[in-house]
Amino acid sequence: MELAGGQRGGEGAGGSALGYYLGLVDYKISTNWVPVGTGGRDTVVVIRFRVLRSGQVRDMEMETSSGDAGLDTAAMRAVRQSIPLPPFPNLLTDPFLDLRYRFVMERG
Amino acid sequence: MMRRFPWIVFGATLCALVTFASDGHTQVIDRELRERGFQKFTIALGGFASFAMNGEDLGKTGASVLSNDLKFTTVFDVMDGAILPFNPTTIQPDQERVALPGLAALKVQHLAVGYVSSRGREAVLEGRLFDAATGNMIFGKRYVGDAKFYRLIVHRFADDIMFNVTGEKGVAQTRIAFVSGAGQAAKEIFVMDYDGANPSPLTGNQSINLSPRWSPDGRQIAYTSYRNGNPDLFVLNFESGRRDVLSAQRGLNATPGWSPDGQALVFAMSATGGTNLFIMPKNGGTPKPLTTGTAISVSPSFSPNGRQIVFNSDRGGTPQIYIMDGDGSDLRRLTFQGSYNASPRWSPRGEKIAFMCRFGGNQICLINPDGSGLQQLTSVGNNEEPTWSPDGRHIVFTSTRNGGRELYVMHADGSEQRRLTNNGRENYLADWSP
Repeated sequence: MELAGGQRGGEGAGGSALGYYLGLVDYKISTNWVPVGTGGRDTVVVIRFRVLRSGQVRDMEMETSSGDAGLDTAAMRAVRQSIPLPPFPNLLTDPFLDLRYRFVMERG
Repeated sequence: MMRRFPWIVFGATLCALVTFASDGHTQVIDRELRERGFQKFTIALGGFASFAMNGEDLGKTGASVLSNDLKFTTVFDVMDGAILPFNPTTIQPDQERVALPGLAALKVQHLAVGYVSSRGREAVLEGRLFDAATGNMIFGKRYVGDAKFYRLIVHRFADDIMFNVTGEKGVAQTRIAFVSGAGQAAKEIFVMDYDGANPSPLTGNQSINLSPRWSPDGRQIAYTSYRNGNPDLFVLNFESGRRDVLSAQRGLNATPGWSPDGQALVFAMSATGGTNLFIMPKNGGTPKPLTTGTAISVSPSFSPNGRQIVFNSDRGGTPQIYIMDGDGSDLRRLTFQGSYNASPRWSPRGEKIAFMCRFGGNQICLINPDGSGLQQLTSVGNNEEPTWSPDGRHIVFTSTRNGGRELYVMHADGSEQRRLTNNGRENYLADWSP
């Protein structure tokens, strides 16, 4: 997470607050992600959305489909079932965050 | 608890890739979640209280059929009723939500409930699916049908559960066509439910009937029959009941394969020397040759996009698998290992070809359409004639592992092999419906 502190310079503890917050979001979405399927290649679904300070989500869209309806649904469902996401901690001052999640299913 | 539900407690491994642009809030933060292997949806079944009709307990049958359907999907882990915090059969309509917090505490994600009743000669199944975590009903539907087709009613509920949870079409209502006969007696074509129940004959002409192939819309079956003395190609239309002769050239008119749009059939004919593949409109017309020469070419199977055909030929000296474009051009050999490869079938998603390979005995193998990734799925007895389920998750095949030829089913990775037919006859040459 040192990337966050360094590149966002000037926000002081904001960087680590961001890292802490993203960890919460990762955890919540991952617990709701239940991908299933049979063998084949690795598959990737990419979903982008904006999360507001309240944890509400706006403008959710699938940027990349896996080509597999079941896996696409599983990724969309993972985000939807995680709404509302945790509210921003006070040290995180952004009005919103734009997040892009890559859901990678490794096979074989 | 952790031992029983590890896959939902901490299934996903987190791998954060954080990148930032330097300017304000237009940046997008990239995150990555990875999952290795497969997770299953956990589901509990409730309701299906005892209900007698025509001498059968439809409650017991319903719970059993639904449980088997859901397990078969490979997507669901069906909870054993004994570990649930309530007696599943005591759940009452509109009281289901009382059971949900207990299920959620056990990390069970869904509850499927069925209430069975009757209306005259019809069986009625009220099916409901709940999300245990949110307490919401995902769907509720009333299934009604002649009690004779009660298993089909339950299969419909199973497919609706599959679709609502995964977005994917289930296969519980699909059927399997196959050839069945004993010794030198007639070989007739039968159709049964995908789980082996309700077998019924499609032909009864006391001759030899082979190679049934469902049309892509499931309304017709093409097959070869010796009913007129010569192996001619027929198409049976289920709605009209008509059986039309599509090709009756002298010699073989055999091993049909439908184009994915259902408009044409490719099949093998031997009338012009050699045994070559021809394509013909499904309503008849002049067959157009796709292969030529004196070698034997049989068993065509289209790629799902209709652009290519995989087939079996001995043009190189031994029977091997070949691929060509749909117009017969760009022919290339696919298999180079083993002295005998046959019966290729392109998978419904296009990424694999299943076929019979000979390693010691005859076995079921998979290969990628580019010739890479050869994989042997079976190893016990002789195994041949693979056919894919329409969702590509399963393969039915013929095996002699217990003596005579019988149909078996397995997951597409070779696991969970089990017998489907057991009727005192030989059963083989299966084709799975769309």
